[in-house]
Amino acid sequence: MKMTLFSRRAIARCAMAAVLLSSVAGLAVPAFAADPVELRYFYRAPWPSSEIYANWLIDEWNKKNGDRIHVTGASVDGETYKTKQTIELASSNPPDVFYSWEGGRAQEVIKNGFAADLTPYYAKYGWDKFLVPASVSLATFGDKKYFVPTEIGASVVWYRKDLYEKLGLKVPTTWDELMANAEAGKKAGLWPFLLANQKKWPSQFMWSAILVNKFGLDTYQGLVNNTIPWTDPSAVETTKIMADLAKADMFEPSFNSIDVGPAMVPWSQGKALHWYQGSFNLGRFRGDQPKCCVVPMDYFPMPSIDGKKPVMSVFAEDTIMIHAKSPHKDEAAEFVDWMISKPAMTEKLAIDKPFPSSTQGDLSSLSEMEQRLGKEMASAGQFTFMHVDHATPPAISDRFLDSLQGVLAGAITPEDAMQQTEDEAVRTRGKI
Amino acid sequence: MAEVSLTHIEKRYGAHTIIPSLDLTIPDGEFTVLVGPSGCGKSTTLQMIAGLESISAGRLMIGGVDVTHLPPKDRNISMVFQSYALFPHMNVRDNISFGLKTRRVPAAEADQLVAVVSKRLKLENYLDRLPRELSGGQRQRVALGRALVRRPGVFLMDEPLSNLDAKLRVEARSFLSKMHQELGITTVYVTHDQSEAMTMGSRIVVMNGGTIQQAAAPMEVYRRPANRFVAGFIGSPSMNFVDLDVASPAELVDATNGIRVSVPQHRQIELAKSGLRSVTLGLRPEHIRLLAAGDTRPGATSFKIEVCQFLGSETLLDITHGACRVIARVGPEEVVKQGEERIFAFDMDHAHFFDPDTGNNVALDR
Amino acid sequence: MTTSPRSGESPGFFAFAREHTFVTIFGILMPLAVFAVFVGYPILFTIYLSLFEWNGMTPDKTFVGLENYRHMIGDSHFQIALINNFKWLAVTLAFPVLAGLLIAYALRNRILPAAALVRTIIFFPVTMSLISVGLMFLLILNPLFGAFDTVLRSVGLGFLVTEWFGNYKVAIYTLAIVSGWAFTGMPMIFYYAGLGDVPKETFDAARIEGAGHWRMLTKVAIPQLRPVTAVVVMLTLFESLRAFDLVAVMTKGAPFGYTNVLGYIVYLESFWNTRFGYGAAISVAILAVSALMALIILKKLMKGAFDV
Repeated sequence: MKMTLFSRRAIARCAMAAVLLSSVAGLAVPAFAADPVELRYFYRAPWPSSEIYANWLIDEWNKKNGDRIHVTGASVDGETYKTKQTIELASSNPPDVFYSWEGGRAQEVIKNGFAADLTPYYAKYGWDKFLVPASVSLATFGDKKYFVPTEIGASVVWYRKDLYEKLGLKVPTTWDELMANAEAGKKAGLWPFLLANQKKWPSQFMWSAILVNKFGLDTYQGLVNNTIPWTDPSAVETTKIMADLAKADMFEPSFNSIDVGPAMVPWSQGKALHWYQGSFNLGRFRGDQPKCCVVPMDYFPMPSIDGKKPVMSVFAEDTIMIHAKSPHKDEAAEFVDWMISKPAMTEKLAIDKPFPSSTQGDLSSLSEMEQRLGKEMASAGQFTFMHVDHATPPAISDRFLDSLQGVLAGAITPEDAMQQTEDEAVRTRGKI
Repeated sequence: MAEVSLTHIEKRYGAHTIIPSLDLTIPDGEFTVLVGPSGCGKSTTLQMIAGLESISAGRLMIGGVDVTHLPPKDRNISMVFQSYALFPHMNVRDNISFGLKTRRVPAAEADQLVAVVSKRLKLENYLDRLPRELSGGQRQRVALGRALVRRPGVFLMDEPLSNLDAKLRVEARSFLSKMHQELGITTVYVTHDQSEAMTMGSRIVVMNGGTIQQAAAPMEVYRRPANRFVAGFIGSPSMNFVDLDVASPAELVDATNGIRVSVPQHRQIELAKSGLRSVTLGLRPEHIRLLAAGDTRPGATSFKIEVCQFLGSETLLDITHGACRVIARVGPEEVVKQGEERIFAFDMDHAHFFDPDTGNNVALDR
Repeated sequence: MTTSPRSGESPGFFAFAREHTFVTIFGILMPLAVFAVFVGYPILFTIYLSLFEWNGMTPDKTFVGLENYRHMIGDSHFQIALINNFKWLAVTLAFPVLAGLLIAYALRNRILPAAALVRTIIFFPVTMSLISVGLMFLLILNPLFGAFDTVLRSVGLGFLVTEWFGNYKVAIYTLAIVSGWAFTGMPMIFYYAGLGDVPKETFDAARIEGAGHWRMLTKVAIPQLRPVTAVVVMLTLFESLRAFDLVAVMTKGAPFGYTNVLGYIVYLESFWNTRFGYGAAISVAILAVSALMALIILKKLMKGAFDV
């Protein structure tokens, strides 16, 4: 990993030297011989499209500014980024600009002194004027801002429009209506909800949505911010609801053996009616179509439970930090500014996937449904909630996800599951 | 007890024929030795009788049963290997009783049989030892015991003595012969050692190039070899061969070396009948006589003694006359010196005449 | 300075070194240095690290003594992982080792045709990376469109179909068998070579004495293959204790930690949960288990295996 970084850097140096030599030989600009500032950008590329986009971003920058500020990229795949990031950040030669998750992970990075305070740059470039407010509120810890969101997402209930029409169903506005629709789907031989929980993170989406909508945002924030223990009745009750859904065959059979990628097959075949998932799946839903989606589908937010006002989960999917030890913070901020500029955001939509964190982003290339969702997210005054694995340190979320999967498989009780999560949380953060 | 009969047996590996067609009947109780140089097909033949090699064509009968395509275990045979092939992880008792166990002989009976065999083979004190704790001779006896204990109809031995030193080998030879006399089990014994074949077999089968050259009692093979190959292979040192022209049935001539041999009256008819213009004369070393100096009887020829080998009970002489080189065997009492010229004569009463083209013995050719 | 050799005293290391400079440098000191740097130091550092609490980011570590070990004993996930390692070992000893032996035996005795081809096919997965093996089997065992379930159903064994990864009672065995599939070629090659060294005549003798394949295998081949078995068992042991790749690519410990193995929780605790001290303590546990098992094997299985 490090070797390739060095060698890439070495190659860049050699190329630079060659350019300089030739310019000196030609006596074109003999006075200009200063090295450009070298920036290293460490990014996470969970999809092939993310890699393509990151390369475009870097190449475009270097084309324009490479003689002054030269950026070298290093990517890591979606699943192992945390492990490699730890090593990168703690090294004596850390990246200047790096990807970080929001929430608990971001807190950890900040706590260890790796993240530079970006508040002055927010002021200098006016980032908060055009970034989606919800995403800016995520970047704010205390009175300081530590990251710049580049991609935001929301979790909603995706549903098959054609199947709804066939079964004569209406978009539900309450939990009970949703359950009635699910029952109708089940009667028609459909899977009411897709879960695709093999890698254990997908089930938390529905879990946190139910918890927030049933017990309120404050309860959820209390859980993930260590003021309410995981053994709280709200958490146990929510886990029980998930278990009951599983028992009532509301999910596809073998949901603990199916990963999200393969689940796209039954979704496309019309075997399932709903799927509560993040908007980052829009790339998958789009398939190889120019516009979303492969099959007729739409979304609605998780509806109101027990008459409470529903809250839609809006979160930052990709966020960028500048390393506190970087000697070139100003140059790094300039590069970050390019990342959230209008042309960069527009290109991201074309190459990668929605949604841009900037309100300036041109959504017109998207389908009507995506534009609608994008506007809804942009208008969300502030961030609502993020799912457990973003919100809490990995040790806790990992145990939580394990336990929830165990409950869904019928191997442990909801009480035990939350007790195990709490035990792990105590070890990480101490008793509440 | 069983008779073994091979009818038109063939062995091919792909397009390569090892044994073209072999016919042999081994009567019940006979000790038959297959002998020949390496690659002559004797081991392959034994392996086919054992069932370790498949038979490409022909029929094999053992004890009146067609066993051509039966697995080894159903052929009523047992075998002793050159390497003994003992199971290194089993003690002597388990090695000997291996075949009894596979055949589900009751334990008490098996113990009884092992006891009898080990006593006969003087192994009773070694039953709990592993093969690696035994001497070569003892290992060989264990292998024998394993083959004997089942009282097979046919006993197959593949060069069982060649891993023993010379002294043990002589002992083992007579031991095996004695055992055969007592038990009378049909035995097929393979060796490349002609002296082993001569001393042990009630009949020896000389093989070469995958075919049987001669199958007869040892002395018959020695005295009346069917062809030049058998004549040369059996007997040590080998028979001398001299190519001569037939001047008349009474006289054979090697004009270039100045050798003249007169044929006795009673042998002339063979030569006359064959009508050959030239003949290979075969003469065993003991049939070249050393004569006293000055002997001028017909056929007496002067030879130069090139090499003397004094063996104690006899002396072997490499002698030459011109380009003609032969070996003579003389008594220990003869005083000979390397390099001297002496008078020798061929004992034509014991001479063999071979057709130079076919190699066949003229006397046996019909 | 020169020293005269004193009688009655065995020459010390320095005397030896002076006399055999080349051997001392290239035969003793360099290998020792290489061992110390690449094996000894990491082991010692791991043991040292296991006495600390460290998130891998801060420059300073907190000394906690044996706290990591104390926690490990009560950690249910550690226990599950340890037991899973033994399950894995049991499966890999039973399946690939046995299958390798049987295939090698069948090839040597010409029971299977086209020996060279079969050998190549069976050995091929050994050369594949476990990552690609894992991805391949994720597809094959996929409950939605996997080939394996389809095959089972088409031959009337549909009742055997289960959630190969989702069912927490079978998932670890699924992984172990997949690893066994990829590993079978290794024991096969060892046994194939080993059987070539077993004197053919002992098999011939056994055949003549009425032994069938079962008896030849159990009474003649296996006892004579003991040195090979000792090596194969040792290899299998280390292979199973090192199990990591398949878990990482196929289940990540799911469902709910029931496919965790020690190697994977070291990774999980160290890098994912940023508890490097605890991860190091588990590494030390792996080392201890390996050493203990190796000792047992050396004592029991290898004893006398190399006597001739």
